[in-house]
Amino acid sequence: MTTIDLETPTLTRKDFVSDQEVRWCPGCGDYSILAQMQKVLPDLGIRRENIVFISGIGCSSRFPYYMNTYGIHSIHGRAPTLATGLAISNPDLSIWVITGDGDGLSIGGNHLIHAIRRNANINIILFNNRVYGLTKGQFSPTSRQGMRTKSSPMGSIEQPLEPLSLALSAGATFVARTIDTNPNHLGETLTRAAAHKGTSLVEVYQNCLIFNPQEWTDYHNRQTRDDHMLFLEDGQPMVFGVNQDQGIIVRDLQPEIVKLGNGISEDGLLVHDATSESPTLAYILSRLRHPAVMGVLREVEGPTYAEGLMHQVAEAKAKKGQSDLLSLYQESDLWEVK
Amino acid sequence: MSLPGAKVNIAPSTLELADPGNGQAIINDFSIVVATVNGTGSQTSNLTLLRALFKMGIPINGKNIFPSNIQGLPTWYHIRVSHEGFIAFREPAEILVAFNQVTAKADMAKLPAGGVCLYSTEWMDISLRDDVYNYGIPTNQFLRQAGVKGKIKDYLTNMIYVGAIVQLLGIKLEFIEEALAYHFGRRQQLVDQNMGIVEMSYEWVAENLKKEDPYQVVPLDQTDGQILITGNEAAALGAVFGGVTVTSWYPITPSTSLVDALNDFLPKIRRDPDTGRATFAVIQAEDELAAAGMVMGAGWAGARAMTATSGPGLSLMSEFVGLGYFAEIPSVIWDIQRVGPSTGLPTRTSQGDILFAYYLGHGDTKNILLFPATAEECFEFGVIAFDLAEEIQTPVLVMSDLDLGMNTWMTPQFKFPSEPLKRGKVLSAEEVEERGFFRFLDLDGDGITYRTLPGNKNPKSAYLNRGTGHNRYAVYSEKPEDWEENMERLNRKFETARGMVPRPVIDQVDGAEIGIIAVGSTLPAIEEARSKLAKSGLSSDFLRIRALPTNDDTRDFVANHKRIYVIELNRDGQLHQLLTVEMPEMASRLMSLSRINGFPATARWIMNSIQAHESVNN
Repeated sequence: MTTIDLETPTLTRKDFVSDQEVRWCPGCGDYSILAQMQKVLPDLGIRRENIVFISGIGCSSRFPYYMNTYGIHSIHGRAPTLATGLAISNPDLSIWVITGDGDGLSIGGNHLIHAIRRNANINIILFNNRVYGLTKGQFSPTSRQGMRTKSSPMGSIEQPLEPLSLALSAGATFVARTIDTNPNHLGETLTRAAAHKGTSLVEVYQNCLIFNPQEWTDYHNRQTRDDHMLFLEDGQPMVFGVNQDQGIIVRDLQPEIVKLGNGISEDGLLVHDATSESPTLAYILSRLRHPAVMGVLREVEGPTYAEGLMHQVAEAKAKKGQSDLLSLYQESDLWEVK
Repeated sequence: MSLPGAKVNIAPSTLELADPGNGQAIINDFSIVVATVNGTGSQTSNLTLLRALFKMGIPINGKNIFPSNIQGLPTWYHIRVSHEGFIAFREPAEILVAFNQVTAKADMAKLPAGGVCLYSTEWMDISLRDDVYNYGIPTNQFLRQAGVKGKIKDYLTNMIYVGAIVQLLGIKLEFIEEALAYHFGRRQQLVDQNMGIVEMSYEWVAENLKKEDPYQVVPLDQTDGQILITGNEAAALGAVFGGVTVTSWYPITPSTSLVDALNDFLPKIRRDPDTGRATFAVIQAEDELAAAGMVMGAGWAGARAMTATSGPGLSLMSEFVGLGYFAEIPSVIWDIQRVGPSTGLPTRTSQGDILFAYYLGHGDTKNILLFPATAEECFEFGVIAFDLAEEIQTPVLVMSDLDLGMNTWMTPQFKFPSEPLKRGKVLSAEEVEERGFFRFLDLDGDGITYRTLPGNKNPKSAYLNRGTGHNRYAVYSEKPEDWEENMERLNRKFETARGMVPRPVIDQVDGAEIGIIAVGSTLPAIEEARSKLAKSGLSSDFLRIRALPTNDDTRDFVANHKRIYVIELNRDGQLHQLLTVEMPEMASRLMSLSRINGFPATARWIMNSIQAHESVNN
């Protein structure tokens, strides 16, 4: 008889690399996200067979091709629904939804909200390059107003959506942001998302070199990036800038940038607390454009959807006791002609 | 090996034709396949070749067989050259431009014996076949010589094969320059740069290679009065002529280029002369469901509203198409079919949505379908789809496909519509006053009732439209007799539509033993197959359905033929199924000839299939 070793084997990056040749455009930010995912997964102590990657349609949705795990390349925008079904059916799985700003926020915006709201145990990684790639360069729900594309020749007139604000409004228990060009931060963020019980949403600023190459230039450039990004650390005041001499305060519920010195010290700055029960701070941070906050904005505990379901089952059993099919049949409203 | 300088004097093609084995040159009758990597600009080179051949008066067709990917995967461009005017897809091509190292070996294996292989001497480390004509070109040396560096290298590499093909086949160089000038518009520097590489290659081939293969082109006059256009651009142009004012859509291959074209055309002509404001709207919706909803909203308001999509998008639209059928809302949906089910093969062609589109919507739903087969019909149907939608007050689905929509076709100059737009039974405020308004009352007995548009000044004009059960006065009703009456009237309307939609095109010949029925883009392959079958002694009549529901023309055609082959690009013979349902008493006459592999139909497949079947039959 064949026996299967159920001990979790020691895995390496290579165990997660599939036999498919990676086919994104040269210079695409997706490569970096893939590399970090394959790097951090071996350290999570999860069997490869218990990991599932689910995607919809778009460039990012090719991601599961390249992961040597279970996976579904599904339909446009609907990956969160499949993931929810999966998470309910088998709570032991580590489930990753790979989506983008088009797949996740346009056609799939509805499902994203409801997956987050249910707090099923899934990790949603949203690649945000603020443009449609696979259909060749139309504006997306996160594109800047005025962006000229083939489908908005006179400039997009739509207000962009802020994915993290949306997630927080839906009651997200884990919300984070990272960027493709900072591999260490990206890897750490993915690790924290994996550790979270419930739905985690990670937005990754991701570069599309072909259709929106200038979008993140200031965030990549060594000279400018520290002025454009603030890296959150729990319990630490919010300081940023090339010279680490700027900070964030809140006045009249509005965040403001202040220059340190001249009587303003770090003591007066906002101090990050991702575990705060109230999502207000996280929401304020999610709306910041300059600088954009990086890291975990919110990380709180809440019952997952599967837990809620199991709880209801347990409650029902406690009240009514264990039933069986025969008694169910006999108790039902059958009219028998005798 | 000597390389010329960057600037050369161009000599006319002086290559002598070698003996091709049987001493015969093969003139204006072959196919070229160009194998490259997508995202390297090879489309520019291929269109340049296509346009130059077209300018020479030779019937051609260009087909891009491309991957679902932005950059880095293999792509093949097929150019059919035919003095007989046969422009169907044909494999294998006799002439291969092997400019993709990754696929070169497999591409070369496909060549027929006696074919031509143009390759880069520096790209490949594989053995050449000794039963084909091989021409090697030192591409990198060329680029170094021309001082080409950086990103543009890939683009200009593709111009090298253009120069070589031009020399080898005897294409007129002046037409290449014209084609480049057309492509790059006023950007003369790009024209010069590309032309420089073409000329270098052209000259180098003349000096260093000896032409031994039999293939060549000579000028003809068969493209006079014709234009080159893709089906999607033709459709967009037709929609503009048809008065489109609202388009809502969601990006999906292979329909995107149709809306791209609308975005290109509309701003140029739809401006209010006084205010300068746009008098049209093209909206990129959040998904196809929303797109269809916006179209229904606009169509109900009286706008000529349309969307363009493909199978997966049509799936999402089914809910609103059902509403459109039942609430009787004029709307136009272009389905540029690709291979399904599900995401399937997004960049391959198919006729797989016929049954789905015909019955799109749950409950008892039947829709009007139009089937353009040529770019010319894409234009025509772009116009009349709106007329039919408004006259019949229902969604009209125009069933194009990737091959027709995205590839470049020769077509006669479009005829401008000669008739005014047909808006159907729309009551003005005064008419409502004079005759009253009963939204779903069948006054004319044709099932088509009178509607008003929101904004009508007569207070009696307003009504609540609904997807729920209603009586003839648009009032909610659960009465069985109301439900039956309404559904029967919708059926009567559908019967009326049979006489309104485009009639089939019928080609009958003397002594035909068999009939052929088809729709859409299989037309060129069928024409070629019929010609070849006739030469082999099997004549055929051909009926090309251009719309569903069918009418008596199709019934008569079936009645007049003992064996009819229904040809289509799907697995299940969907058109065949519909025809057997329409005329069950003659179902045994109808034979299904269907297949789906993602490629356009070929004359060879049709001919072989029919011959095989006929030989068993007789």
